[in-house]
Amino acid sequence: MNLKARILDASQIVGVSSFENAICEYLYKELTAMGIDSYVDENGNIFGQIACDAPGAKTLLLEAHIDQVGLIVSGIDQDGRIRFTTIGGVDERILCGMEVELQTNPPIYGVVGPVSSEKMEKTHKIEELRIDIGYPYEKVKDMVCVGDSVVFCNTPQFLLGDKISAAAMDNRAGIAAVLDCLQKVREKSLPFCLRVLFSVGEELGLQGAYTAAMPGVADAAIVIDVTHGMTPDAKDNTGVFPLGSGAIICRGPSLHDGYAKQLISLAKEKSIPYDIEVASGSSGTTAWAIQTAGGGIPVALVSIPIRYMHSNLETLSLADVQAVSDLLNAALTGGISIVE
Amino acid sequence: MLNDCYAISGSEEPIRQWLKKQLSAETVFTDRMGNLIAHKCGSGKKVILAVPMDEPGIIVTQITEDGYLKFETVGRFRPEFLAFKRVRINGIQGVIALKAIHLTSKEEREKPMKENQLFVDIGADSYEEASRVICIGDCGTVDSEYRRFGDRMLKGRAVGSRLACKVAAELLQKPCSADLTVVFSVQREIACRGLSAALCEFKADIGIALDGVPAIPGEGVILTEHTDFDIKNRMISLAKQKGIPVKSCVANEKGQETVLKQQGITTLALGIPVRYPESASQIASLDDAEALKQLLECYMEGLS
Repeated sequence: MNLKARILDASQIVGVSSFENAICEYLYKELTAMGIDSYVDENGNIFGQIACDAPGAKTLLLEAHIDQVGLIVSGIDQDGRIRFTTIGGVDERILCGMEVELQTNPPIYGVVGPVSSEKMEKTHKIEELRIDIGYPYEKVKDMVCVGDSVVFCNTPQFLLGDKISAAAMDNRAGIAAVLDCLQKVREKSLPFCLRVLFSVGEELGLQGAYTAAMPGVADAAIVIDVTHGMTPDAKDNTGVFPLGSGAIICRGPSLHDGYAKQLISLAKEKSIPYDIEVASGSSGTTAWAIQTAGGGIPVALVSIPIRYMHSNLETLSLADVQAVSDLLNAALTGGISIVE
Repeated sequence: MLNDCYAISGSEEPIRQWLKKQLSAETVFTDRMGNLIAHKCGSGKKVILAVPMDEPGIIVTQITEDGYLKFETVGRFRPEFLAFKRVRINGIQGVIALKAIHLTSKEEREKPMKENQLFVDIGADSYEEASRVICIGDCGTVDSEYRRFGDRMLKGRAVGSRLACKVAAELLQKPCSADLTVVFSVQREIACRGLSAALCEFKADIGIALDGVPAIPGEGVILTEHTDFDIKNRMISLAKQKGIPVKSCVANEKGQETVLKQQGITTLALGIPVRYPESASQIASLDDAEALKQLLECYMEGLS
């Protein structure tokens, strides 16, 4: 499968944090189909393993989170409209007129809008918004249950060049880069054991990574996630990268600078487009959890820049996902060395 | 018989072409404004029925150095319903969005959305790249297709007025004694300009305005207060007699019925309830459209 197809495929599978069953199953199947030994733990984290014959080989962990932001049903009004709250960081401003799908069986289509038609003085708060599924209360109460998860309807929009907008690019783009790389390296003999971890619950507080990165899991780790893409309204923000920047390598105290530097040199050497971002405190990614997990794992973070993160229109450039896949490929096939 | 082809005020050609093919009337023609007019001769009262065929949209006002499009809205779109929508301009796909929640303060997010803070991202990296496919003045709208859902509900762009167009087109197929002229009007979204121009050409005993109106879908036919008193009572008793749900409503905006009234025509204003009216995710009930059709047919039958 080519990279574009992978990204589109992975972004279509739903998996709001703590409701990751579908995406979990999908990824387990993908790894297994590649001939990678895999299993799913009790939390829904997926582990894959590619062994190494070299005596005393170290273990590298490759990690990406699988969950996406979304909504959750919190009540049903007498007129049949549905109350909800958010899972993960969702800006209320994305929600007016948003088309959604309740993850019931079968899924139910609905449209989000303000409960009152009055012109607003302020942005509608979550409490002032409802999902309309077009049924009266008597039917809704039998079809929908408080606690059901809700995803944004996801119709990809193809922009000029190689840019694509879709929901859940955070972090299915990262997942796609990892899968693309694994496809290419799985037949090769690697200089270290490779562990793959696709973790749950990142948007709720890195839960999967905290529970899965156990003592002895790995000697070093590379986390793949997304970072912010430049937009006209973000010119005053820092840590924002134009699409097309390539693989964004992060430096800062919560990351292992030795690996960051190795990756930077590697990108230069292989002419893979890259840029450097800085996390003075938390990177806001699973790398934060992995650094201290299981007694501590030296960790590097490589990100794909995306615009409009945590919306239904997360926008990326395929070239950046390719750059991350290429950098990983180079790193796994001898481009970096695991130090004591 | 319903179609969600694009019809932004001033660029109604696609819907006009489509409607023209659907209509059965003795005379169908397009006037100088672009209104599509269908006439069916009759010996009875002269009735003019006005229904808008246009919809709101956006118009490109500027292409920025870094390849984004600034725009203004054409007609009635609330900015909060435009943000985070897929759009289409000249067949080019784009998105309207804002920077991520992580990059904004609570104060920024709480401020009501303004049109001038929005922009279209078509994926261009430069002014040059964007201007190869987009010209200032190009129109577009939200990429929102019809979607049937729930209990006979329909979501889409301008579903209220488009369902009203369907009712009007079907009325032309019914035998009746009235001399009926239907004006499928342009530019309703920008102060009902199409109908204003069309009315110069016609005299009528009764004017009927059909449209989508802000109300709760499923409530039945909306009878707005602009309706003349005698007709209003007649409609209410007709509805009661036939068991058609009807609701009287105070209209808080000037629709096409006000244009009819200004011409001194006895006016009947009927609406299909629409949720989220100033959006491209309008919701209307097919049952309400059916109720409107029945009520209108009963009324027309009773005219001598």
